[in-house]
Amino acid sequence: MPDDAYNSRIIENAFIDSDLGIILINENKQITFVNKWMESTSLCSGDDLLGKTLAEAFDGQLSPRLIRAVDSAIDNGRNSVLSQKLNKSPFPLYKGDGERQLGQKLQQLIYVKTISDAYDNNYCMVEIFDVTEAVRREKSLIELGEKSRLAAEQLSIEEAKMRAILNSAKDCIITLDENGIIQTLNEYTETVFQCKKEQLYDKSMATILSPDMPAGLSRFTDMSGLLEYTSKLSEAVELKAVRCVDEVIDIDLTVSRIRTEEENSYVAIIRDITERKKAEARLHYLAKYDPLTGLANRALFHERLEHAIQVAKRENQIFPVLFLDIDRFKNLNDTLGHDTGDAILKVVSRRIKGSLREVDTVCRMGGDEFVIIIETIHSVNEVSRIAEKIIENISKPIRIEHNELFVTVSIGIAIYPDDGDDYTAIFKNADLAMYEAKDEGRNNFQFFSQAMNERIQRRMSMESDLRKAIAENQFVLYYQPQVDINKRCINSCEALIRWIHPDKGNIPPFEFIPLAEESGLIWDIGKYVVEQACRFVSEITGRGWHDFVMAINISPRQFQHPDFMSFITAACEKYNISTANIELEITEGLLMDNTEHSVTMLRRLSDAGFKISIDDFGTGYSSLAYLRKFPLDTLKIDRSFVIDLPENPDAIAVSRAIIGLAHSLRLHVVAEGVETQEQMDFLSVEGCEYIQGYLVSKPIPSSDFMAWLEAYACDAIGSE
Amino acid sequence: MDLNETQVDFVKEIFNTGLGEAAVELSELVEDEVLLSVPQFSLIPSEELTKHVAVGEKDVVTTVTMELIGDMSGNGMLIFPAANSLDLVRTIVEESAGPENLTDLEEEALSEIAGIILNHMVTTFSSFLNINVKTGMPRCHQDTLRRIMQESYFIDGMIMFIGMSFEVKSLNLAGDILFLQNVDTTEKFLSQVVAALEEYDLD
Amino acid sequence: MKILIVDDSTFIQKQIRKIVLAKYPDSEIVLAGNTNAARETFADNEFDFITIDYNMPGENGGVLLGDAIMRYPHAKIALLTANKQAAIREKVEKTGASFIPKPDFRDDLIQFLEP
Repeated sequence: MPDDAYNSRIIENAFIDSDLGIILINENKQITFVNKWMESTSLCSGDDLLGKTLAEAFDGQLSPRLIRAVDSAIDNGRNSVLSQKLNKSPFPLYKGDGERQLGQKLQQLIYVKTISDAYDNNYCMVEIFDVTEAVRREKSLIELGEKSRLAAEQLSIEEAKMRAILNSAKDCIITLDENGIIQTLNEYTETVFQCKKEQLYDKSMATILSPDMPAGLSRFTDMSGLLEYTSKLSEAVELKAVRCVDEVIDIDLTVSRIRTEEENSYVAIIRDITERKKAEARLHYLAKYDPLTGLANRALFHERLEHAIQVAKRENQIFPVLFLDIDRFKNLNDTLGHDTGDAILKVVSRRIKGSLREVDTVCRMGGDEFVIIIETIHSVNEVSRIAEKIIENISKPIRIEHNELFVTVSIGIAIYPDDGDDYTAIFKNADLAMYEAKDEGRNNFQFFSQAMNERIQRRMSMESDLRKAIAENQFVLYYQPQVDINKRCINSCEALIRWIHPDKGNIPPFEFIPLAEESGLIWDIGKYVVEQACRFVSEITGRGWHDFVMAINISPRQFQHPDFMSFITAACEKYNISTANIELEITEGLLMDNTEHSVTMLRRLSDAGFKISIDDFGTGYSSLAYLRKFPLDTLKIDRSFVIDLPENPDAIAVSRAIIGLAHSLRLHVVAEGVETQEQMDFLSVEGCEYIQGYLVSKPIPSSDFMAWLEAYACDAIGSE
Repeated sequence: MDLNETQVDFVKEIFNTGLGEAAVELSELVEDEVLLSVPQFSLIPSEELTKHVAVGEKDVVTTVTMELIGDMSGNGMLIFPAANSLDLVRTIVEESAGPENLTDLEEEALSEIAGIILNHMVTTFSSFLNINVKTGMPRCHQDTLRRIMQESYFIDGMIMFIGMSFEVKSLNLAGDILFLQNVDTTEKFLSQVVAALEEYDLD
Repeated sequence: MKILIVDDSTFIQKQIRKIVLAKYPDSEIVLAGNTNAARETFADNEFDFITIDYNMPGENGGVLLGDAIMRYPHAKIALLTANKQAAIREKVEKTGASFIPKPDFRDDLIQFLEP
C-alpha cells in the first residue's frame, strides 16, 4: 500500500502535468503552486511566482475582478467563474514567445475555487482553461449564423420584393398545386376576377375558367391535364374565364410548371384581354365591314366567297353570286347630293338584305356595287326568283326627306361552278352578267353565259384596239353622196367613218361604234369625225360650192356631252365654214331617252344654224307629237325599209307614211341604202327628195368624192 | 414559522443589499450601469414553483445553479426564459448575432453573471445573519423548467422566491432568483432572521 | 426638527428612526412607504431632513429626490441605496443631495443629520 506522501506526490504530478493552468493560493494569498502549463504559458519559471501574491506575480496586470474573486474565495469561500466573454484574458498567458511579441494572449476561462484544508483554512485554486479554440469555433459559428441570418434576411427581402412585384403586376399570378387547386394569388387577380382571395383559395382553377374551351383544350377533362399541356406551349393560349360575379372575360393563359423534389406545382399567369379583344373585334369589323351600310366589305366578301367555294366543292353543291349595281347612281348622286346618295345606299342595302335569308352574304364592294352570295340553292329558277324579289323590293319608292325617289338595279348572276370555279372567275363573270343587264336596258337581271363571255372578251380586246386606233389615228372618213332625185345632181353627202385596222383591215362602224359608245371613246372618235368633216367641207366650199351640206352622225353620248355645242361651233369657226353646211344626224332613240334636254340642245343647235336630221327613221317609236317638238330639217328612211322596195307592201306603206309625214312637217326626206333603179323610181314617184346608196355610189375617199362633185355638183360654180 | 412585516422587510433588505453589491460588480464588469431590483420575496413549497415563475412548465428556460454548503445548505438558482438569457448575454457582450442557443462561451458568461449575483446574495445574507455558507461553481443548464426541477434539487423542499428585474444597456429583462433548501434549513434560516433582527433592537 | 423618511422597508424605516431619535430625541418623524405617499406629505409639512430610498416598488426614489429638492430648497436631503454604482452616486451628488450607501449607513446618516 502506498503511503499518503506517495499518493500526494502522484496527485501533485497529475496537477503538474495537467493540460489546464493551475495556481494554488494559500490563506495568506501567496502563490504556493503553479503547474507546468502555467510556467510555459506565462513564460516564467515557477520559482519566480511562488510566494508572491497574484498581483505581485503578474506585475499588477490582473483585473480587479480576478483579484476580488480570489479574495472572496479565500475570505468567504466563494467560487467564481470568469468567463472569456466578460473578462478579456485576465492572465498574461501566451501560447509561445511569438504570440507574446504580437501581444496575442490566450483566450481564458477561469474557475476560482475555494479549497479548505484540515484546519478549515480556505485555499484558492485557480484553474485556467485555454478556450482559444472554442472562441475560434464560436466566431466561425457566429459568422456562419450571421451569414445565414443575412441570407435569410436577403431571402425575406427578396420575398417582400417578389410579393411587391406580384402585387403590382397587372397580370393575375396564381400558384396551383399539381391538381390545379389554387394555392396563392396576387392582388390583381382579385381585381380581375372581382372577388376576395378567400373565395378562390383551395378551389380548382376550373372554377374561374369558362367551360367553353377553345378547340385545343376542350379534350381535357381535368385541370392537371390542361395545365400540363398548357405549360408545354410556347405561347399563351386564349380562352374565356368567368368572374366571381358571373361575367365572362377573355384571357391569355400562360402556365409554367415548377418541379421540386417534394411536389409539382404550376404558376398560371392570366392576362385580361377583354379590352384587347373588343378592340380587335372593332378593328376586325372596320377591316371587314362597310361602315356606311354595315354590310361586309370587299375583303370579307373575298373571304366568304372563298369559303363558299370550298364548302360547295366539298359538298358538291352549286351556288350563285349576284352582282348588283344601282342604275344611274352617279346621276342621282350628282343631282341629289352625296347625303341623299348615302341614304339611298342604306335603303338599298336594307332592301337587299330583306330580300334574302340570314345565311346569305351581302357585301358592298364600293360605290353603288353590291355582291350577294346565296348559300345552297337547288335550282336556277330559285335564283331567278331571288333576283326578281330583289329588283321588286328595291324598285319600291324610297322616301328621303319628303322626296320620293325611284331606284332600279341591274343584276348579273354567275353560278358556281359552271360560270367559274374560282374567286376571280366567278366574280368577274357575275360582273359581266351585270353589264349585260345594263345593256339590256337596266332594271333586270341576267345570267352569265359563255356567249356573253366571248362577246365581252372580243369587246374588251376591241376596246383596247380602239384606244390604240385613236392614238395612232387609224381612222379615215369616207363620204357617200346624196343625190337630188329631181335635179339629178349632188349637193350633200354623209360622212362615214372607216377604221383601217392594221391586222383586220377595214372594220365597219356598226362593229365598233356601239363599243365606242359604251366605253366613252366615242367622244374622241366623234371629235375626229367632226374635225375631218369640217375640214373637208371647207375644201368644198373653198371650191365654190357654198351651199354644200355635210351630214355627220352624232352619237347620243356626243350629243349629251356638255362640251358638244361649244366644240362643234368652234370646229366650224376653225375651218371657216357656215353652220348651215353641217347637218347633224341623230337617232330616234336619243329623242326618246331624254326629251327635255334633247329639245333644249336641238333648239340651240338649230338656232346656231346647224341642220338636224333623224337617222334610221322608222325603226324606233317616234310619234308625230314628238317630231313636232323638235326643230328638225330632215328624216332619213332606214335602209331596212328601202331594201324591200318596191315589192314589199309593208315597206311601201312605211316608206309612204314617212315621206308623207315628213312633208306634212315640212321636212326633207332622204332614203338610205338605195341599190336599184326600181327603188329610186319608186321613191321618186312617192316624193322622196334625196337618195343615198350603192346605186349612186358607195362611200368613197375624199379625193374620189371631190371628183364626183366636179362631175355632178348641183351648183354650177363648181363646174366652171 | 411566519415572519412579521418588519422581519419580511429585513429579509428583503438583505437581498436588496446583496443585489446592490452584485450590481456594483456587474457594472464594473460590463462598464455600464446595471439596475437590479427586488419586487418581491416569498416562501413557497417547491412543487408550487411553476405558479410563481413567468414561464410554463414546458417552456425552455436557462438556469444557473450554485450549490450552497455550510449553515444553509441547498441551491441558489437564477432562472431566465431561454430567449431572455440569450438577449442578456449578447446585449452585455455586445454581440448581436449568433446561433439560436447559448454557446459554451455564452453559457460561461451567463454563469459568471449569475455567479456574481448569487455570490453577493449569499455573502450579504451570511453577513447579516451571522452564518457561514460556502458556494460551489455556478453551472448553466438549458431545458424545460419541469425537467430542471425534476433532475435537480429538493423536490420536497422550500423555495425562497425572489423576483428580480435586470436592466443593463437599455435591456430590461425579468428573471427569478430562487434558493432551494429543505424545510429544516428554511426554518433555521428564518430563525436566524428573527435573531439577527433582534440585535438591531428596533421598536 | 421635522424629518421625512421615505422607504418601503419597515426594517430600514425603523433603523433610520432609531438613529434620528438618538440624535434628536424631540424630532417629529414622518414615514412614507413610496414616492406617492411622500408627495402627499409635501402639502402641509416643512421638513428639515429627508431620506429617500432608491429601490422601491413603483416609481424609484430618484424622481422624488428632484421634487423634494424643489419643494424644500433649504432642507438636507439624502438618497439611501444599496445600489452603490458610481453612475448613481454621481447623479445624486450632482443635485447637491447626499448619497448614503446601504447596508452600513449608520455613520453616514449620523453625519448627514448634522444641522
